[in-house]
Amino acid sequence: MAFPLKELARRKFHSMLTILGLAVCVCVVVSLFLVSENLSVEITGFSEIGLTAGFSAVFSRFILLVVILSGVAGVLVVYFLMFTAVLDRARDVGIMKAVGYPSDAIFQHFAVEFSVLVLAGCLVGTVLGIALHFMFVSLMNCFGFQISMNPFNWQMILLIFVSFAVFSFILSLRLTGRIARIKPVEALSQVSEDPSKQRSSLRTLPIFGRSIAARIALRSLDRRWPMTVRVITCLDVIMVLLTIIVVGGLVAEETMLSYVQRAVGANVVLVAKPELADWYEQLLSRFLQSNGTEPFSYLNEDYVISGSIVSEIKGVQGVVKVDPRLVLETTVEEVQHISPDINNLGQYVVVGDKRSADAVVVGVQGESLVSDWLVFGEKLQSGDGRDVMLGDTLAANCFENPLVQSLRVFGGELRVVGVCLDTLNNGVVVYMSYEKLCSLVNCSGYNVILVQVEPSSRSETLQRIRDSVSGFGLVVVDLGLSLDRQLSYVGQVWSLLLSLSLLSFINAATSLVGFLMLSVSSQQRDFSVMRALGARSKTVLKTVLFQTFLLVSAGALFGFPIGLAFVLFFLIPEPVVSLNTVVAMVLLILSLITTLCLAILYPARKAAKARIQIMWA
Amino acid sequence: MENDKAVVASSIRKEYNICGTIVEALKGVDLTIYAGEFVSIRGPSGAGKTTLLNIIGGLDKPTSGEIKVLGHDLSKYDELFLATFRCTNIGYVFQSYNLISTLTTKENLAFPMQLAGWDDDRIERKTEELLQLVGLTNRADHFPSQLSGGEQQRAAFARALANDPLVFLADEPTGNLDLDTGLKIIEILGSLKKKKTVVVVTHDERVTRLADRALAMVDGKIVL
Repeated sequence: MAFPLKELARRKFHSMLTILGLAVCVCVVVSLFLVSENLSVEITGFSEIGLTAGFSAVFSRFILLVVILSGVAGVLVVYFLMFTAVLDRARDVGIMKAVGYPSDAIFQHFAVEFSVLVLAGCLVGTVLGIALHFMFVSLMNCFGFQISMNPFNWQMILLIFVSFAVFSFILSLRLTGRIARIKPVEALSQVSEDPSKQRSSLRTLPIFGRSIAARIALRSLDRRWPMTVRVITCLDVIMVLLTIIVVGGLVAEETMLSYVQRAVGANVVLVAKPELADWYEQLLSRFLQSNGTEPFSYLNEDYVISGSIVSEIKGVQGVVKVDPRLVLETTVEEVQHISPDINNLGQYVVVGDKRSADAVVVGVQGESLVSDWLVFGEKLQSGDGRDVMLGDTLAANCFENPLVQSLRVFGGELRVVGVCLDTLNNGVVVYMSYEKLCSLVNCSGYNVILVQVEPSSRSETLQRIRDSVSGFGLVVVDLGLSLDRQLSYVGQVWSLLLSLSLLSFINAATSLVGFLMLSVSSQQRDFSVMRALGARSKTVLKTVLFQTFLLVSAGALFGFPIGLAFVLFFLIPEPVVSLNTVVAMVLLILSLITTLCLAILYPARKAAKARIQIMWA
Repeated sequence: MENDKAVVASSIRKEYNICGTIVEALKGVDLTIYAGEFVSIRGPSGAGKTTLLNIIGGLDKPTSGEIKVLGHDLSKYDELFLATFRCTNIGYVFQSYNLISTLTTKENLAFPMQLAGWDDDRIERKTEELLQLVGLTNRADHFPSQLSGGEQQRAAFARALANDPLVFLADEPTGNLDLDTGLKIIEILGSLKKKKTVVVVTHDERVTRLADRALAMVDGKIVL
């Protein structure tokens, strides 16, 4: 036992790098998991307060992807670092075997070494993750957020710890088996740098002309092909992770802000009786925070707005669209659906559980809607009074498979045709035909009018609307403020998540610098020979930088499109990508590659400036 | 006569700090080697022969003293100058070959010429010539790890001649060679006599016999 530990202590840099690489990954996963639980954005669920189910799902998917990729990246990084340790010591193993050291003892030796590294990395990472979570929540609360500290989910933390330890250990055992089986002659041969004899076609690339640095860099990558492939694979995963964090973060934020804007409507004002207008604003603010649930008498005759007022508003100059609504709150119930069982022919399964919820029910006229929600399924058609569209939270909380089920309200049974992302009453809402709602509640008239106005003459139009409705005791409320509050809230939550994901960037940078430092140190002798023959330090520096650029570019070449595909096709439905976002994405990715290349400057300069005698001593 | 002196070492001392212990490798070496002279150095292990050769070749600097090679005081120049100086004036055969592991034999030979900025045709011609000289034409595209010790030694020898240097330094150039190859190298060394300044660290009597002057080093000092 003592010998492997002494070996780890002797190879301090490599041991620390392996422990650090694993620890950072475990730390990212543990802290992301704990913080997301405290944010009520559960990885596997959603929150009932604070965000609608649809919005929460996007956040959850984002966190889940980052967590999974951090895990994969972590295990790969550790595997790579262990692989380099094995390669570095192939010759020593050959000597050990040549003097009669048995394979079992070599297996045991490396198994102990790797176990110590894996356990230390996981332990340090878990402790750091918990500490980081405390720091993060405290810091955010200092900045005015109100994040509660939930009790720890120890089972999940244990699961993360065990998963990382088991996967890393399995991979390390594979390497241990390989090194224990190596033949002494193979290990002692100087070709051990390339045990699999794999070769690439890099040497045939003619494009780099006569630059010595480029030639040496290319040839070095070619000669160390198994190592090169592993580095590029690790960088691919890291690039996918970074693309999801950086690009996904930008696109998701822009898209979610657009979802909010589409749901509330741009340049929309509310016309209603003062009490109802206040109440409607409260319904909108439930997206941000839970507030009163006391009953409100929506059908009070005082709140009714007649059709003639609607016509009058339509005639006001600067009005684009008038969306009169009948809003009320009632209990709605999930209707069970019986469908054929796909697995057992002739059998049927019951979908649904007759769950009920208090929801806001809104009667609308399909052709005059100011909202353009993101809808899963079909939009509400104006002609068919039997259809309803559910808000996302109601659909997620009360329905098993809403698009095949029906909804019972006021004794009527209506078919669910779509689910929309809506912020009104935090998504616990039902939209249906105005006429159908009137017939179900046996009344007529609207109680809320949403009016979309020309943005260019907004204040004048608002004044004209006020003038035309003031005689009826109605108030005109600009919903722009509510919209701004919602947009700012979504932006804040994204900022929180993105700042957490910054850890993954640190992880990526640490891994890359680690890889490259190892790569540089393993080429130290060649660099010293180059310099002894008269190559300048600059040539060595250029060689290292060119190698780094090739590796990072190869990583980006595969990683960026894969990450982008994840973002556009999996992470966010109907993504919004504006020109600004594209420019920001390109700049970010370029600066990322540059930063990662610059990160290697220190070890590269060290290699280039070291005294020749020291380098091959 | 100053121009005839290719190497002038005055009171050269070299100390290394190894784990806190100061080890004196050279203890005041004075040496003059004239242009075109062939000098051999022998001595027991640890006598400072390789250290002296490294200092003459501009790979290392003395702790004190002055070293002039081809009229340049190497202890006063920076690394940039020394790199160019080594490339154009010094040919060095290292004891452990030191071929660049990621380049083929041919590319290793071409490397100093590329550094010197030669054009491709000239490099190609010279490389072929050198490969023929050391008998490695059939190993041109092999990597150092695919060559035997003797072949690597010959490749290193050829590389040292690539830029047609004025000063040729060799550290045990026949140490790892079989009889025939050793004779071939000695023959080439002999052909350098009077054309280049040659300093060879060797225990091979055949090489020593070629020398105009045979020196011996013991405990960091020249004793003969």
